[in-house]
Amino acid sequence: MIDTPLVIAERAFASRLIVGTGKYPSHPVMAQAHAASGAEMVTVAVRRVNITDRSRESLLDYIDTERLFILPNTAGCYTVDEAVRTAHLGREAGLSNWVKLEVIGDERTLFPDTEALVVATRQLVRDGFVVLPYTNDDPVVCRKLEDAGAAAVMPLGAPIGSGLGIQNANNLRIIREFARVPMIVDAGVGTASDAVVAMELGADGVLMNTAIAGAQDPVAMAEAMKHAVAAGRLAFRAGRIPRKLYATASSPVEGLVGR
Amino acid sequence: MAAQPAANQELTLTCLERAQYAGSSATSNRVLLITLNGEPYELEGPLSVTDLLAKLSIDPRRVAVEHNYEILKRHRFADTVVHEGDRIEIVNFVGGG
Repeated sequence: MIDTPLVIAERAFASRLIVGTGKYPSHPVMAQAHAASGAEMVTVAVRRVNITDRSRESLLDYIDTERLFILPNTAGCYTVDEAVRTAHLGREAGLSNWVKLEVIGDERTLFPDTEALVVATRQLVRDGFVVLPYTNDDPVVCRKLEDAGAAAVMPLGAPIGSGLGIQNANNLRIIREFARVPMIVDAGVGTASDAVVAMELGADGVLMNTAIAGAQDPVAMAEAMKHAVAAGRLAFRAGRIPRKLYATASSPVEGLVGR
Repeated sequence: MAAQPAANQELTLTCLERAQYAGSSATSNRVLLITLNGEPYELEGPLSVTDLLAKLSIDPRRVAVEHNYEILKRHRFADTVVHEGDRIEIVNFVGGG
């Protein structure tokens, strides 16, 4: 069953898995995990260069930019101004006008400040960015982000780095039903089955970092996630059977021996 | 020097201004105090952003530079002069999700 590519802002991706570049045991392990994941887009953070210690290797030495599209984020930004400034710096440091927009509202949960997120989205769209906002699983906020010009909506499955899996499947289904742009489930995936669930709900893609980078074997988990996203997508397209309370026999009831 | 392009004229002018202020020769180098990535930083001036990056062993193709809260396009690194008291931010990509 040949699938259509994931298309965001007219750019097509054969893989529906987007992965991060943070928290890996080492840069070489990250590079292997990226290859094993089959992902075509990776997120990066924008931070001050370490002036005093120039010995550390550059992250970009380990990202195959021929194959991987780089999506800078605004992680750690708590205000519209910080996020917009960081997005602009990311655009200048990189090669594209795409940004994974985060405006965080709370340190412990890392839940987004959705009010500021909508304002920042509008601002960055006006500045010519392709904006992919990380948001909560609220259909109303997703609609506002879309109206503000977001190229995709990226609701969380659970808090960032929590590995709790999809907490509110119904909200994600509602968001998918109404969104006119791709819905990428961003954050909360803990293991392969979580990614399958997200895709079975109809997500157009899944974005994850910790689930792969923090696994005991990140390269193996990256491969598991590749299969999970593909399997969930295929099951969604295949159309699952309805849920029923009672059993329905799979084998014929006629012709039983001895009756 | 007279044949040099506009960038160096700007540089010379800046040196003269600084010389008037400091009462020293316009051609001699002097120590500038700037704020680099939020920290006080001393360096010998005058110099351009390109010179600063070279001094710090930073590949200009992999960073973005903000000069007094204004993002510099890469093609302006060479003709942007660092002045006393300037605020400079140099950022790059690091691992993130």
